[in-house]
Amino acid sequence: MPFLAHWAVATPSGDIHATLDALADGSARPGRLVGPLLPLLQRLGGEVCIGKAPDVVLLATAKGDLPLWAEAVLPGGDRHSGSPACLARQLARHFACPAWALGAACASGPVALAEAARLIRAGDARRVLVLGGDRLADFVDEGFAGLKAVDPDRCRPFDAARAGIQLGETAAAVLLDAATGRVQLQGWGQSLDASHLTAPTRDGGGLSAACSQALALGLVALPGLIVAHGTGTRANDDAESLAYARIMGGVPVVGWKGGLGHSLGACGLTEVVLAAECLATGAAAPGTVGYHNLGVPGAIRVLGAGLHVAPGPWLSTNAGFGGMNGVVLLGDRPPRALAAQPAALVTRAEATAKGWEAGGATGSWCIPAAVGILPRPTARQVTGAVDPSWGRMDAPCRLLVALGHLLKPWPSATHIVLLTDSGCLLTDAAFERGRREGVPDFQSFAYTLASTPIGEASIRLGIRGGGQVVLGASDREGRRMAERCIGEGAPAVLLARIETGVEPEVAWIERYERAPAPCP
Amino acid sequence: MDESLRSLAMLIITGLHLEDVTPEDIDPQAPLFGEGLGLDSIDALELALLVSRKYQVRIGDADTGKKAFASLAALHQFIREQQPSTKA
Repeated sequence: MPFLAHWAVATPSGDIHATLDALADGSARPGRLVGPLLPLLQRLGGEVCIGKAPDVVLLATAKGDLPLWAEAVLPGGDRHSGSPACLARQLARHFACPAWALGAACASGPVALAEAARLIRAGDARRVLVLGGDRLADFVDEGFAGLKAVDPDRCRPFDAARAGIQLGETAAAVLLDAATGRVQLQGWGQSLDASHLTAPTRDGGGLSAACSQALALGLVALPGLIVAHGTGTRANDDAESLAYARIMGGVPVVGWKGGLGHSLGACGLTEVVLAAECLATGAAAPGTVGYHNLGVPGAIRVLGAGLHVAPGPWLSTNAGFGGMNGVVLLGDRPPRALAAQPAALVTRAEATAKGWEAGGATGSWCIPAAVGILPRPTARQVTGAVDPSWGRMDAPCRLLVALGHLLKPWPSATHIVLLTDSGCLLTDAAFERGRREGVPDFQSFAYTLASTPIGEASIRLGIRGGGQVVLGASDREGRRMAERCIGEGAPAVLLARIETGVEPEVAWIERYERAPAPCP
Repeated sequence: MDESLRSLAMLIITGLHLEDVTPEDIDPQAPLFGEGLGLDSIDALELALLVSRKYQVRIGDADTGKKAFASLAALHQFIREQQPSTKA
């Protein structure tokens, strides 16, 4: 069973106790950590492993060490510096075990914890180190400002006067152990909104689906507390309030981003660690710094600044670009046992020099610009209809959506696992160049996440199961990941690898489903 | 199509990276957002920026944006009104 054995955080307020104190007395403020990400992650990881090596390391991150990466993507830059895939390789060397960066934009924390739980439940690992970290840079400051999503004053989750996020840096580490720990990972859930790339579904339907999964797995009707995503944007907090009011009316809600800021892919793991510390020590939960008057449509009970006693289990929720949702339930009981489900590869498609190949059949899309480069299929070539909105999609999004079309149909609860090392390299480079030249292309900012192709595939193909992008993993490790998702009850998994902007480019997709039961 | 209307349509097509669309495909009276071109809120922010860069007119708030972005013709008219001395 997955236990949270040891944990640690770093925030501008200090370590775990300093951070909880600063949140409780309302003095916590978003800020930056000092220095590069790798040594910080190595230190936090070392603290929680306590001298005994983990079997696997998972890094929850959206952009990795962005100040390094933003230099790396410029002409002449060192492409082996700062990206999530680079960090994964460095962590694998440091901890002497497999390490992957696992992303679901700002829901990376709970999604990495869900994957860690699946590793342990499948018997593939006994000790999984989950790290979370993202560094800020002008790249992301300007991107969010361009989306008009930043409150220049402060972050006020669920408040009537809220006007956006404030970015902040945090990092966190948790050791999940199969046998022992002070808090149990009692449930987890993942879902995709399939509605909009940067805005949540208005009614919070995607998020509430992930919450319901986590509660069902944890065998509880209601949690004692919701540690909400609470970014402080109008759209996010509105949608969250409706999600909670619908399925968990009356459960108290806290949000900590008024004190911590939004730390992108690190925020979820940071919030989980703070919650776990409170649950393990029986301490009261810090309330919502920056909150004064309720200003959301859903009837929820938001707890203001101060300390609040709440019984376990606690539900910690996050949502990210691409409509990716992740939720974990922290408590003192094990999750529901599941009967093992064997998986089978059902069908496969691959992009070729001019088009595609699937099950012996071939088709053409368009002739790419150069040898070793894959086609960038258009809506007309893939669906037979003109769709102007395809124009904004970058190469990895186009290839995933186009290949996905070939593998239809699937259940809407299908889970997407996207393997990549190159991520959105070309889009990152174009956005950073434009920004430095004073003409940032804000439309492409939402595409500067390696997980965005999953969001596009979800929206354009109607997929609502969970999703995760995995950087630094082999094809074999990806296939095992798909099998574990089926083993945990996913009706189908789309597993893809997409490498663009490197030579040669690669794009394939496979559909896995439950294997038919053997004859008695 | 009037030349200045056409150049505004081109700005929308190239600036918002619209696929398989020519200026003639855009009905000047049809809504820019929602159905038709399928533009959404990300496009609206980008379009406001593109228009301010090229025509030096500011779309300051959501209400102005709603009016200005009602259709290609409405945007054309809005730009003309905001810059009386030059042709949009």
